[in-house]
Amino acid sequence: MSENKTIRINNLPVPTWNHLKINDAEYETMASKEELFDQLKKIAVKPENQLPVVHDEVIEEATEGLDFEFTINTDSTIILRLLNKCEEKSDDSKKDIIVKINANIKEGLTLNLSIVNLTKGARIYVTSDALCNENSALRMTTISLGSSKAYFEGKAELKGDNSMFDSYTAYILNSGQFLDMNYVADHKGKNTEAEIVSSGVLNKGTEKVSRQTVNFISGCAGSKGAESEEVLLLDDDVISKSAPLILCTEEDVEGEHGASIGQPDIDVIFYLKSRGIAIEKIYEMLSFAKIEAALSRIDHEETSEMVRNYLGINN
Amino acid sequence: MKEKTYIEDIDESIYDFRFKEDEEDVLGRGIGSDLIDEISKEKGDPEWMRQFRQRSLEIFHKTHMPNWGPSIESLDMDRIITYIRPKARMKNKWEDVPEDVKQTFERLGIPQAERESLSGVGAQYDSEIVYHNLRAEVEKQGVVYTDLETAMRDEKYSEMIKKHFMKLIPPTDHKFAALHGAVWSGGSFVYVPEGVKVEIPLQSYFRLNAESAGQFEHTLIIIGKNSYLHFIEGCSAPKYYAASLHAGCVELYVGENATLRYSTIENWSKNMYNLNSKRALVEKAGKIEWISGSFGSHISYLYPTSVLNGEGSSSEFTGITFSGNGQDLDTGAKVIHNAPNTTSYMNTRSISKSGGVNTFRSEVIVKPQAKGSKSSVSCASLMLDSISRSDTIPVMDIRTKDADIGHEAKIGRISDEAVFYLMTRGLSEEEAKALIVSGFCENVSKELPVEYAVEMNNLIRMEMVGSIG
Repeated sequence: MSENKTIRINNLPVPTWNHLKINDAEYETMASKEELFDQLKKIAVKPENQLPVVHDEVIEEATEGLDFEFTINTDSTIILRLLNKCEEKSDDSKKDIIVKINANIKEGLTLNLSIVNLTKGARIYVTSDALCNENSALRMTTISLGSSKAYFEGKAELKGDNSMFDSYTAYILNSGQFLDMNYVADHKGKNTEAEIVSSGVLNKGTEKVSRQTVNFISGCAGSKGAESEEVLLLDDDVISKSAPLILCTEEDVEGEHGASIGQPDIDVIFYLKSRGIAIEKIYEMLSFAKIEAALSRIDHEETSEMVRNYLGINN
Repeated sequence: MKEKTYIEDIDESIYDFRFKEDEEDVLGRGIGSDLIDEISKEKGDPEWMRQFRQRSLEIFHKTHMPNWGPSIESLDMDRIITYIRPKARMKNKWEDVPEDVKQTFERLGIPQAERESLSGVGAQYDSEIVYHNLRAEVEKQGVVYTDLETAMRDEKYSEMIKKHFMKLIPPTDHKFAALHGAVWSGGSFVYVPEGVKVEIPLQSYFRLNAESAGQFEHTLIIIGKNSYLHFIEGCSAPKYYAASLHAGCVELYVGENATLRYSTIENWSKNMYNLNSKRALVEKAGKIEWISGSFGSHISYLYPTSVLNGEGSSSEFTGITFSGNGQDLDTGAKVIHNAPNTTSYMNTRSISKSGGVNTFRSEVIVKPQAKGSKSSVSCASLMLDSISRSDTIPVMDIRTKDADIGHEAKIGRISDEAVFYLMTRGLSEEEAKALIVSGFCENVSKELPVEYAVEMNNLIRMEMVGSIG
């Protein structure tokens, strides 16, 4: 008989003080990590042209999770949308969905990978590993609006010279939602570049954990890596945890990190209020702006509509 | 092909001399219950302290080694000498200090510094304080500066010490805090009464002379409402092949509207495991200023912690770490915002070279009640070659919306453009790079007392010039 187990996911590449509880995330399950991944439905994706490949995963009773294998032989756009079976009535609060992605991006090619979480109460865990060969790029955009608990992990191995990882995550958390993120760029090739951005809003009773790592490995001369985080805190009972790491064993690199956590800029608030906009509306505008920035990167009208409908922007 | 500037390790030869200790002075190696009782008896501890040591020993045995920092597996606790009997009781005049001990401190320039720029000096040699002196005019203001053991036996201060000793850093904090609680010896007690401003700094200097020894001094400073103190601590040891251990403990209590500046220039030898703990509790509108220069040690774990407990209290941490061959220095700071309108600022610089490892580790915690709090962290790292390592591991944990938190970190190397520009202004490449490194450290060195800033800049500049390879 299966017993409850706690597996550890979203590990920081280098641990820090245990009392901060940020070295990894605990994930309650009935199996080991390997067993969990073995149970996933395997899907091989080989885009043949530049048209977007859209995969909708609808949370149902017997959701078994997905194990994607992306082989990128042409510039590609892949959009993965996690949705509810019936948006208004379905209760998915007891459902789990795990998505595992492996991508091999061949020389000189770009993969635009977008993950959009529009579930309701389900718990989701999305983990992706990408190998970037010479002159290739992974452009990753994540929007997380749903789930009681959501775990995202994105790792890029910048193995080839001049390869690139550009990750942007936007989120709005409401009413007790929990979001745990871990993004890692391993710079191995020369002149590689990474930019990891996280931008979101915490409302009542929510918690967010953000881990970002730029890892310059000896030999990656000429590489650059940047991390940034912007978090708007709109209620008092919120928790924002951040661990932005820069690891470096190469001299000829540039790495930087910037974070801004707190309430909206008082000058912005003052200006908008002076134009007659109510404070609640201002907060809503600032929140939606973060999601719109992500949608403009995805550049897919149907997905944009879906997200706006979810947020009630079009109503 | 690019030319490389080679920067030598900081020259520690001025610190690298020793006088042989007598074997009969060594009370014992390792750590056991009998030895703890023997130390307690030797030092004439009150009963509560003997029991405290025994409780700490139990905690030490139950507590795991840290699993997150540099490896300390090669530190063999069974070989470390935990207590060395003093060569003489504490003196108040340099002339009365035993000749070899006196020579040690004279070579380190301590008596000269006392004459020229200090209000008072304490000097610890191995396990015990051997000299303490305080200027008469400062003493008249009611300032107390003595060794902790003397203060503990003085009925005026014994209760104060019992109330504060290891309350900020309890033995349960981590394994080496427990070790400290069991075997601590020496260190300083400073008390500054309400309203007293000590204009000239006090300094303690810790010297570990013996091979394979541990130093476990405890510094307890309590400054009253509206007072001011600048306390400087320095440390060094001769170089041995066997590992030495420093597991000191610093507890600082900063009263309402008081300011305490705590400066440390740490230059232990490269066989030292520096596992030191420092923590300050700051009351309403009080301020703690940490200035920290870490140059020595084989392994360091050092994170001065500020607990901002009173409304409007603040902390500033300014640090520089220079890590060379064989060094793995894990340094940084922690701040806990525990009251409204508290502010914290961290500004650090680190330089890694010749295979040295630097880790900047920090934590900023803003509790729900700390509304209106602000924190800013800025850390910059300079890599001088590709066989070294520099990691930045900051964590922020924010639990109120009414906080303003900023963080920035940068890592890189000496810019070719800056070197080129300076060379067009007539500087040689060596001078240009030396100037850039000094400039990189400048906003830290300017916070040091002038004599330390000059020494630090000289150490860096002198080692760079003439070393292009």
